[in-house]
Amino acid sequence: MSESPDGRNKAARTSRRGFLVAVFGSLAGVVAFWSGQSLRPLDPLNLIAPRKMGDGPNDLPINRTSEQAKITADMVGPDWRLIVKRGTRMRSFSYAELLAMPQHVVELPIACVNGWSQTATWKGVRLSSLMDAVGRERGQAIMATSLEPKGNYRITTMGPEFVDNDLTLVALHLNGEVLDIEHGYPARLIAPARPGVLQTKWLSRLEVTT
Amino acid sequence: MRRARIALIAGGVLILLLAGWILLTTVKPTRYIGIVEWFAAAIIVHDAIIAPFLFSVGVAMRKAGRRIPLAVLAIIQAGLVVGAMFTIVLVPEILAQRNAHLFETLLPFDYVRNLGVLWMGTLVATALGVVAYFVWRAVRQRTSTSFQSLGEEA
Repeated sequence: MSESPDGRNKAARTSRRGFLVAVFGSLAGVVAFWSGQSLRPLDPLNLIAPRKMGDGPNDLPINRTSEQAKITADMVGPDWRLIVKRGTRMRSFSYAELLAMPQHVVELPIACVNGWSQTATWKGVRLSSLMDAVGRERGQAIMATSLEPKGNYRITTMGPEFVDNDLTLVALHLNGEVLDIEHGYPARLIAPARPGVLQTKWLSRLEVTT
Repeated sequence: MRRARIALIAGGVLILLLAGWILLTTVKPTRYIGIVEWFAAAIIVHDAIIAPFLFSVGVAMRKAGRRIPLAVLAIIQAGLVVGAMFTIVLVPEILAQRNAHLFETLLPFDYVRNLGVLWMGTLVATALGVVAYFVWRAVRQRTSTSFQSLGEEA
């Protein structure tokens, strides 16, 4: 284009600049007004994202509700037990028994596959401690089952790299309060670097698989 | 250039093949109808709504272009693109808010109001851009005029 000496050259150059301004302007606009759902400094600018920072029970958004998962109050009542199993060895923990175990606090995000990610403070029992109770050996994977009767992620598997990690908890508290039923009360998994859908809520069973 | 084109086309064909393979191996055949519907809707939205709109904007711009400087047209076009981008993002959220049973933390804002706010902001930014262009042009003209007169005096 630079070889053409006529007036069209200038016109083309101006419109190319305009095109780039339009593309980067719209990109910057969408990023600025959207990213607040995951980046706290941009939260005040959040006008278009489908989530808001800190919005929801326990100050954290939810993705799948207890109603959608068909979790009833009876299922998470006083009779609830967390079953932990390895082969023929099995232990059953009540909510009070889990609370009586050493509690650990971790800062981990829920990184949802829908595109939002928010960090929260979780408190609960180390998953490895619970699995130790049935004699799990280091390097063994586990399977976690939710109370929900149906759902693509009712059962999830967790490799040893997560189970052996001290940050991986069976969480009972979230942001300083008892875990809300929408966040998986009585107990849920929280592990670093796992998509939100695999942070199993409404835990009912943990089982060594290898 | 020829090599770059061949590489891009080959890359595109490979991605298409990969997409076809993923479609056939991971998507249930019962969902094929939905995918066809999506493509049909995309063609209708593009050919019946977006393309005629952009064409008429282009024609209007070209007619106006005889009187308005090209840079101002470019600024206005940039503003329209930015506003259109906000609209494309927000309209599905507005529709979803009206049609679906939502739980509390999904789509928590008044997106109709926010779309209005963003269009107003884009309008103001575009107007400021046009004003800035005219100021810049006036300053440049004055500078070049004074340089010229300096040259005449010397």
